[in-house]
Amino acid sequence: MEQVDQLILDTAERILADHGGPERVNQAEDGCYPVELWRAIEEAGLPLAWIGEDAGGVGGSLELGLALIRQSARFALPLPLAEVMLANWLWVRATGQAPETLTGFALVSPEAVQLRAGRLYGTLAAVAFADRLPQLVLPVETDHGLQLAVVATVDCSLGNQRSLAGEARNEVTLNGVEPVALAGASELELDDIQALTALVRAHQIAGALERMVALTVTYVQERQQFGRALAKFQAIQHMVAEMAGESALANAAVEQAARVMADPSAEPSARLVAVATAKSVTSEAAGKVTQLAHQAHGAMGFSHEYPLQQYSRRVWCWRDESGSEFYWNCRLGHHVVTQLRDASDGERSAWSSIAQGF
Amino acid sequence: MQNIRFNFPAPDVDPTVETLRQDVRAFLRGERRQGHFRPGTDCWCAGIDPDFSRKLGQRGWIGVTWPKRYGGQELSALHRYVITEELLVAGAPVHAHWIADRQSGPLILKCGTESMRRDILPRIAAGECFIALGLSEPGSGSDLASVKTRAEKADGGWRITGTKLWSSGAQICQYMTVLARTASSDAGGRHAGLTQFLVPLDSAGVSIRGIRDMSGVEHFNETHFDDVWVSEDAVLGAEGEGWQQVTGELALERSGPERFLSTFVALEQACGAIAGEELTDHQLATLGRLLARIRALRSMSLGVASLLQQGQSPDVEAALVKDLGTRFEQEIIERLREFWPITQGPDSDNELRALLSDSLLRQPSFTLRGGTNEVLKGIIARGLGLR
Ligand SMILES: Cc1cc2nc3c(=O)[nH]c(=O)nc-3n(C[C@H](O)[C@H](O)[C@H](O)COP(=O)(O)OP(=O)(O)OC[C@H]3O[C@@H](n4cnc5c(N)ncnc54)[C@H](O)[C@@H]3O)c2cc1C
Repeated sequence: MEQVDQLILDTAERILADHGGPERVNQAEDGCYPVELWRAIEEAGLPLAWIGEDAGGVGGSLELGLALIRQSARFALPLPLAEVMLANWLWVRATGQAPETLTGFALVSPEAVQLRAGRLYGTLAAVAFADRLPQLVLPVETDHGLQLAVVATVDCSLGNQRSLAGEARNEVTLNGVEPVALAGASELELDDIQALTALVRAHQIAGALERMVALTVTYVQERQQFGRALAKFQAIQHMVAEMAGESALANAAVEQAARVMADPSAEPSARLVAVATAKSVTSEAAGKVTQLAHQAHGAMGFSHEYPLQQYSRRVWCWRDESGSEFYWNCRLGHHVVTQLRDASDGERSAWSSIAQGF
Repeated sequence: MQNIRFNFPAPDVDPTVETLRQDVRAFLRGERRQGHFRPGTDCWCAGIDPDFSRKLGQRGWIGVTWPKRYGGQELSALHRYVITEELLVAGAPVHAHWIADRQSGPLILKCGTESMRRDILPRIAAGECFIALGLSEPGSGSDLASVKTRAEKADGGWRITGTKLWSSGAQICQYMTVLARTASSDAGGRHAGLTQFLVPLDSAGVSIRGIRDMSGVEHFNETHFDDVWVSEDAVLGAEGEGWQQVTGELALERSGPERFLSTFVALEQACGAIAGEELTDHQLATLGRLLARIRALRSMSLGVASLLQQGQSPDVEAALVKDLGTRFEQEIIERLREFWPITQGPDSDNELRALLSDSLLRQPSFTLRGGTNEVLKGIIARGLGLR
């Protein structure tokens, strides 16, 4: 990570700590949208991390953007930073320009939406923060290949669905919506978009898990029972060690996948394998760390006031979004077995499929 | 609030690393084709074949990171990593030289006398000299500082008396590093007064008895030292530095690919065996999960290697790799049982079934050797500030 990158991450941390925090997160869930926090994030240019400097952005690397997203999850950010960053990344890749209006992102299966006579029809399930974003960009499969459509959310009808964490995940219905902009996806493939989306969720999980471990470490040091800190009981020490292991493993997986995705010489198969690994490992860790963190916290962790729940509910949601561990395990297994099956020289191995690169 | 961040730097990759990998793969394929070895599970512990180690030495694949004047190649830690992971996934019989290459050689390089370095390191690198670890004793396992083996100054050297237990491969080794008490533990705490010696195993008064393990392999040993005389030069580093040396090696010992790849051969065979069949999503997901976790463990283990190369001492991170990795290499077999029930002994004609049985019989040792997982968790907890 370069020095400039570290500066940006430090700025983000300051903003998230100063303007965010557990109380804000609860308020956001109660319907009080943290406008000031979002303003500070925008003023710092964070949503433009992946937009080149020539298009008015920060010109950050893929890795920086993902690190930023991981950072935001350490604070359970109840705002669509990741979604806006994804939308910006897509639109810039397709058109060379940043969207002029704040735009979110909806990844849909190609069959869910059709473009007929210049109008969009279909239903998108669980679009993150759709009710807070003036526009959405969505990939659409058309007769001319993959296209990116930008729609104004006022033209759509939105459902009122919430995620486990109380964040908006609206059902968006397109009933003959005319896109405000349409662009060919240029060299982008749906697989790449899906992979980056999954990697974003994986980074969010990894960030949240770090904070869950930290919360637990602090709690068991402070809480006393039987005349000593919980941290002094070996059973508790082992639970926390186990959580730390899962969290570290999640970090290693998302960092490695970010490197592969950022490497222009990486083959598509290497990207698939890296992202599948990251999402599988983080999603599995989400379940384990949540269970252990709550066990170590006792009833306090089950209370709404104590912040642990903000993270557990988020990771429970993120682990099943963009493909759960079951989905990605299956993709990875299928990929490796297919490569083995197709090998003609007898020299292909499962090992060679998973151990390309570092 | 304390913020815990485990960040694992990317290894520095140079193109010769991949070339080396291909060379190692080609060599291993050739050896297998000629029937020089059969892929074995837990090969870095159970696969003892001095001839095979010698062949690796002749190719220059042992001690690769050491200075050339001591028989090394002055290659990077990543080069060594790639050699070791390729040997492990091939199930090659590499135990004979493994400990010397991983741990005793680097210890001699760091703490040994110049004559030890000149005399012993080139022979290790040639695959001709093997070293056993003499740490555990009948009464000292996890509580290693309680060792009873004593060394006393005498006749211009030292006299060692005691029993070392479970030393892997000692029956074929020329030397053993022996952790002995050289001063009472009252002065300076129980970690003080411990010294490591490099003891030639052909010394008068040494007797080695092989111990058969539950998988049928006679790979570990009981070694008696009955008033064994060694020269002053046999001391590793300085008197009293034994504990720091033993714990200083741990990051190296605990984070390598052998901590999650011991049973990979079985998984590889399993993938090969069913690749031709019509697979259910459940089967694919089971295999995919195992492969994903191996990849993540590998990234973490490589990250620790990078931290080591940067001169840091990632003891906690290394303990995390070993705790997760060793439990996982056990889990691989537990998952594969679903598709291949294990009931037969390891001498089955079917290669996959033999590997699965053998893996199962060896797997209780994974979470014990080199520090039990409970001890590792204690180290992690201390790193997190809980103790
Ligand atoms: C295959 C194999 C190869 C080996 N090779 C070598 C070798 O080459 N050289 C060598 O010196 N040794 C070797 N060992 C020995 C190994 O280092 C010891 O087995 C290990 O250190 C544990 O010691 P122990 O077996 O005496 O178990 P013990 O220490 O008696 O432990 C028994 C159980 O109690 C638990 N326990 C112990 N203390 C605590 C505590 N404070 N809190 C919680 N739980 C605790 C342990 O985790 C374990 O589960 C080898 C062992 C194996 C299995």
